[in-house]
Amino acid sequence: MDNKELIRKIKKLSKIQPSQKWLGLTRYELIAELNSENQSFGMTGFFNWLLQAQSMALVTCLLLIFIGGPWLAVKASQPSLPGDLLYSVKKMNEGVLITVASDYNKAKLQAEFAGSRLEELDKITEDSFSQEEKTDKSKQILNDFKSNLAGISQHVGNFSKEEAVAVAKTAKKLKENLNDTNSVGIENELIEAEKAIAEVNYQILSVLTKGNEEDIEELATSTDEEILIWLEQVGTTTEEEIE
Amino acid sequence: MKKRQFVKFYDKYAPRIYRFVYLKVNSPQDSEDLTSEAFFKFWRNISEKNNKIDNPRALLYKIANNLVIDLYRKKSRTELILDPDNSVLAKIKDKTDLNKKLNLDSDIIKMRKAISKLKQEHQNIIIWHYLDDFSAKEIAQILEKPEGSIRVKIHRALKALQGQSFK
Repeated sequence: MDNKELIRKIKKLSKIQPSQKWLGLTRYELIAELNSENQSFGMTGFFNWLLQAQSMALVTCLLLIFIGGPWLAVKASQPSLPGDLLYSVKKMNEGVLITVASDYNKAKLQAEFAGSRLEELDKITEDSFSQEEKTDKSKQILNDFKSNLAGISQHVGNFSKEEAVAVAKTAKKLKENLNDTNSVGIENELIEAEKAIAEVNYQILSVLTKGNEEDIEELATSTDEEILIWLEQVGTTTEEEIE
Repeated sequence: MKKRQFVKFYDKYAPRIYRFVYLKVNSPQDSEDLTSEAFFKFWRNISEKNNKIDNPRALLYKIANNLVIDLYRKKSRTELILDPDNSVLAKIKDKTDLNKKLNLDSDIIKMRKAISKLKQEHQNIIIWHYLDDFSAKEIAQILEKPEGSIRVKIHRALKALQGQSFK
């Protein structure tokens, strides 16, 4: 038998066929199985969809938009000044951070933000705004500065002595920076800001002298002497100014 | 592959898969069970892989072949029941001429016997290449072997079958 004849005989095996009844029954069972799978798509289908490359890309884009977008906006808002489009974003972000922080961190953040206000004040002085604009913006910033300091005063009462000293050091820096500020047109606001710093100092002194009010010398041995002297000086000077 | 395409695919390949399995296990009952199981497995497979399959036909035959191997493992070869009544042959389509049918029956029985005496790999290659018109490339995909070695095996399988046919 040659190869051609052999292959022809192999082809005859194609006459072997399953019963039509079995074919139809299996077809019916398969379709029923497919339909039941469709019905139970539910959560499994959702997770399968989630794992697909396209849906992964979509989820990544959404995450970028909803998390990356606000983060970028906050970052971009950092150098903004009053009147800028992103300044409200900057303030909103500060508000959120203060809301979620502990008491001590609230005061620390308020001090940090007060520092930012003074930086903004410097920038406004350097920028090419008209004198009127500079005055308006400076007033707004100093009002915010006062609010920040009020926030510090509000929480200082609950501080330990070490924490109070740490805040006092920051307040000292703020006072120094405030003294360097150009005061044209905002003299009253600057006096108000100094009063706010004095109020913070008063609160800090109250914390430091709690329990040993009569013996300030003893307090000096346990506390940063330089800060203590400064706190007393500022208190006295501000009282005189107010009088 | 969508549901409708799958049903069409079943209509086209169910008789061929059944024939392949039947030639390997010689039992109509086992052939029916394994064929339907092969299609269910195939559907689950393509659903898991999100329809990313190059050659669905090759995948289906591969599944069917694996099921046959599993059946061999479960039962020893001798346990596999040979179809005593030739029930499949009784269903062959060509019933118009009795003499013609008898000759055809005789040829099919002889060929089945000859193929069953070949080693498993040669059996597969004969069925896939000469009966189901698979290319060497497709057989290489199913058996996960190089295409060149499959070409050699096709030649050897036919030679082995020729040796059996004359006995």
